[in-house]
Amino acid sequence: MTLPKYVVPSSLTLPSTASTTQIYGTLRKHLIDYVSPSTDTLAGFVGTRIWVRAAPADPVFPYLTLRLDRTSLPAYNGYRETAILEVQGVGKPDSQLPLVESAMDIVDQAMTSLTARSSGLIVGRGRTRQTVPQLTDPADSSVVAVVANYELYLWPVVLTSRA
Amino acid sequence: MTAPLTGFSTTFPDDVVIDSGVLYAGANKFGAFAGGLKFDPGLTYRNIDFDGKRSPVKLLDRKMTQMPKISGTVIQLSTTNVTQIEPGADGATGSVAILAAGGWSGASVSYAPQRAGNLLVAGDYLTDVRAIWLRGNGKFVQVFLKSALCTKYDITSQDGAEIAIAIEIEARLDTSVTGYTNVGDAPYRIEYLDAV
Repeated sequence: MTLPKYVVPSSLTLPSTASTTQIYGTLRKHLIDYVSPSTDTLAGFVGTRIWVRAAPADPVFPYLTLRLDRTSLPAYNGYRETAILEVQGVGKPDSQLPLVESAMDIVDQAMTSLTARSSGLIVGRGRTRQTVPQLTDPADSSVVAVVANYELYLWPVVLTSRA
Repeated sequence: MTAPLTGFSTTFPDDVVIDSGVLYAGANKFGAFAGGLKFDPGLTYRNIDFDGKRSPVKLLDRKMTQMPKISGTVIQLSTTNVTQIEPGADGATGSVAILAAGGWSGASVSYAPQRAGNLLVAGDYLTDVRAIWLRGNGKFVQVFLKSALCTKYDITSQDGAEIAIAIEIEARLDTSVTGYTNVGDAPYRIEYLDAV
């Protein structure tokens, strides 16, 4: 197993759970590829602006960010992990709130129906979601955001292929 | 260093069974459940006894009974569900005496459960009952009961939550069906499907 050292476009083998970077890439690809029953996709709302951890400087709004909190327990010899995928949908100005909420509806569908086993196993079913209250000075009150946490469980290759 | 001793293998992602599963009665879903489905094949074995026996002996086992049962908690109660959990219940449409006596009006349906002492008829049984679970590879595994009967249920309501109807559906051997004609035949199958 060769772990990615640098990530440039098309450098990652996806889908894969062989590394944390590839897990992020797999989840991001799932979000981009997901088509809702009403044929909506995230591309219609955020394009491909789905970033890991934070958006780049001077971002185009709206966008999504992904962040994982992962836990594995000795009960499964550390092979199985549970994870919380935090997805933030961010828009500006505040008229983008419906856009962000709609984008997050698609994320809800995609992440709570996720069963990915092309490499290891990733299953997502549950979630919590909050619309961020309006910010006040000195924060930018024109920024709107929705934060959702998706409960996943994984049998990732990065943990199950230990020597 | 030594890696952990574990049953995990590379085929695990394909073979793992996930989620609570779905119960079908015939071609239609039975309904929405809270929690998972439980299947108990109800097997009993007898290891033949003899004087001086000190432990169960290989090749002296005989399967004695198989009383398969699927159980779970359904959270809905449609009119179809009533006839599924009350085999032989008879629904009468229209103004029904007991409702009229209560001062209620409008179209009503009253289901009279099967009279005790009656022998059930073929149409009272559920057919093609399936508890289906999703496998990691996107395919399915199911427990299939060709003929079955809901033999037990109870209804529990609670504040701020859906109703809970605990049901038990037992298999019945239908000796008129090919593959089930011998009285010793198992009244259930475990089957793998590519699609549901």
